[in-house]
Amino acid sequence: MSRLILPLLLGAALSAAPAEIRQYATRVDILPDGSGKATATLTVAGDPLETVEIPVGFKARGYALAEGPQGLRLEPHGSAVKVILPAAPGPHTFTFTFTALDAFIPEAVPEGEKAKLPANSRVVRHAFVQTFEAPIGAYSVEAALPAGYRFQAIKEALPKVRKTESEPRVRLGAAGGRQTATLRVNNLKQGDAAAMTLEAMSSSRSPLWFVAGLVIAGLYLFLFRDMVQTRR
Amino acid sequence: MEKMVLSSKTREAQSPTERWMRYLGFPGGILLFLILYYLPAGAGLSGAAQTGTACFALALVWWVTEPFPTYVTSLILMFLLLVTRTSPAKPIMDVLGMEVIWLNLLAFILSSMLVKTRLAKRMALWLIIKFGRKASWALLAFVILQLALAPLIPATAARCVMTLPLIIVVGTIYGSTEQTPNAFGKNLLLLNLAGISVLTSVTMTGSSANLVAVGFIQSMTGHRVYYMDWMVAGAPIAILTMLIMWFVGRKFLFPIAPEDQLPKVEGGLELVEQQHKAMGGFSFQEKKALVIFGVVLFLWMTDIFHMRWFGVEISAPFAALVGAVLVLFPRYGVLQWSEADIPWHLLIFSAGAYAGGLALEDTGAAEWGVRTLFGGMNLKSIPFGAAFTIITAVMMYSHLLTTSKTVRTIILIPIIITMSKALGWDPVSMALPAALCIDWVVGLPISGKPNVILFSTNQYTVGDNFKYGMVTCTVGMVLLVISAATWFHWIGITPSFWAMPK
Repeated sequence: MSRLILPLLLGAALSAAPAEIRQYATRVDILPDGSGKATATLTVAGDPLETVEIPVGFKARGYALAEGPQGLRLEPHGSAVKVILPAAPGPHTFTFTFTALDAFIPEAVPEGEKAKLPANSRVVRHAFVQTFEAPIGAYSVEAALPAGYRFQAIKEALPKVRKTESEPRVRLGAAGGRQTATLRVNNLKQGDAAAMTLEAMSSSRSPLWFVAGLVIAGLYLFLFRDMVQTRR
Repeated sequence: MEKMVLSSKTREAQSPTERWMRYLGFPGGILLFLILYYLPAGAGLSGAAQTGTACFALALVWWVTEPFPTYVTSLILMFLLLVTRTSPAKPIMDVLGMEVIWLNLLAFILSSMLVKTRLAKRMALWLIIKFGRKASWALLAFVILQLALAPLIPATAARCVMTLPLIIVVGTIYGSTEQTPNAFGKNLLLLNLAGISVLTSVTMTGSSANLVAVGFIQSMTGHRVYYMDWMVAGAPIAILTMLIMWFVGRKFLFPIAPEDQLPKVEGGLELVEQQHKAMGGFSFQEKKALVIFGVVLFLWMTDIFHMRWFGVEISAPFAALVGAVLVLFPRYGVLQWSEADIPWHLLIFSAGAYAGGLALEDTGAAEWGVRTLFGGMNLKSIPFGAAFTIITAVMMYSHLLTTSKTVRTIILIPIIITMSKALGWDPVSMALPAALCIDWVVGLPISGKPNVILFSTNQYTVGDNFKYGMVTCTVGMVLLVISAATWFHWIGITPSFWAMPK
């Protein structure tokens, strides 16, 4: 009996190597209604038929597998998705889509407290905590704003940029005429958070500064004209 | 000489051109602000970064043309940063607690001590008697002094604080005061400003940013830059630049009139000698000042050993703080608080300038500007020499965009290394010469801590600083390019100047 159990235990111990996410890239196209159409592409190494719970970093629903190896299945699990790997050995690369909820929302101001953002500001927030034993090789999230909006400021970007890194944690850019913010972290270890919070506003500027600037400049030129008048 | 005060009075506009500059500078600043504010946004730029750039540009125009005193412009800038939502209130207010502001404040307590005890006067008279019988030799003496101090005291601000009383008194002897600034004073202050920064690049331990650059070169290319490698490349360029500026400054930039070539003390050099003799031996107060200054100097020079000796590092401002405590100590000190001449208006100017500079960094505007500049260049179809000239020029002049040498190093050196690899050049051939430009922060009064401190003497304008700084950087650039074409190639740092990318 022990001759049978020992190889089984050994086999189990050897096969219990933790699942490893080698690459995890998400793109979220934010819609004016506050939700986002997200597409996540991952490369995961794990045991055959192993179930891997993958957080998506947003409140989410409507998970659907878009592309992947035969036998790979998804099971929704709140703000995470359970992925059942196929029987064939990996690593496996697959893509799934989901709807990110509350991806683009006005600031929530608790009653009796002061607002920290103007009424027309929206907040884009993503927060992901790495729960896997093995580090994630490359993690990235790209959020694209609806047309007519731009990022006002990057309020939070985690983890903090290390002294040896030359790239900012969150980089702004553009794709298809829309402004994007991309969070990128390499070698994300267990327990580390990868998060970004950005404030977005309408991309059109108020004419107030233009009017005020012209009035003040005109007043100065009139009131201080003696500076350049020839004294008689 | 004993009663020098750094007043907050705005300098009167001298010529009609200056009056017109002041008059039109105000609407000019507003116009630039509006253009930058309403320009279509760059994709990589946040709203706050664009607004911050507009605010900083407005302030820069006002600092240069001076429609208001510089400190009023700083206060306006701080308010603008808040109302345009470039920065929250806390980081704007926090700048008044920054290391450089504290160092500035403490520096003036120590300077007041040296002036009150007449130690600064004694040292200045001695310097004039020994080296300063002519204005040109007095200026050269300061170049040599800064060169000698650079390897000993790594903190540029500390070096500036240490030499400031001497600079002010020598300036006074040659007739340059805050009320009557002359060309000698401008040359003296700006030559010291350039000397303090440029001569820091003589050694790789001259500043922590130099070491960060060396670290990047080693980690990204595997090439170790040794102390002597840096010095062999950097020292001749820095020293030659300073000698050229010593000549160019007094001959072309701010020509010293023949009557200002000699000490302007009534009675001439004989009187200087008489005054020096009349001072007699060191007074007890002077000896106390000397001991206090010695303690501060000792702490500045030995900062790398502090952790071992004291279990804590006493940074440059804290060393000055120790000095200030001794200076102001009741009964045994040298000064009373009311005797300390602290130019608060200058601290406010510095605070506003730093708030603006930090906003450019924090919002990513400075980083975006530099990347856009590099991204828009096609360096693949040009010879090494041309690419070298462009890359080192960006490194040299980019100090106008940021107030931190370290931030500039962290942004630019990795880009330069990566770009050189992509072009097929040895990355060290670009990165090491670029690293030699890190410390040349001489263009504006806010580009470095010594600049802020020296600007407080109120003897030159932002425009004077810009003119002198740009000429210094351009002289350095020309020397770097000539070096790349000649002896950098001979000692193996650079490939042939006309080589094309592989």
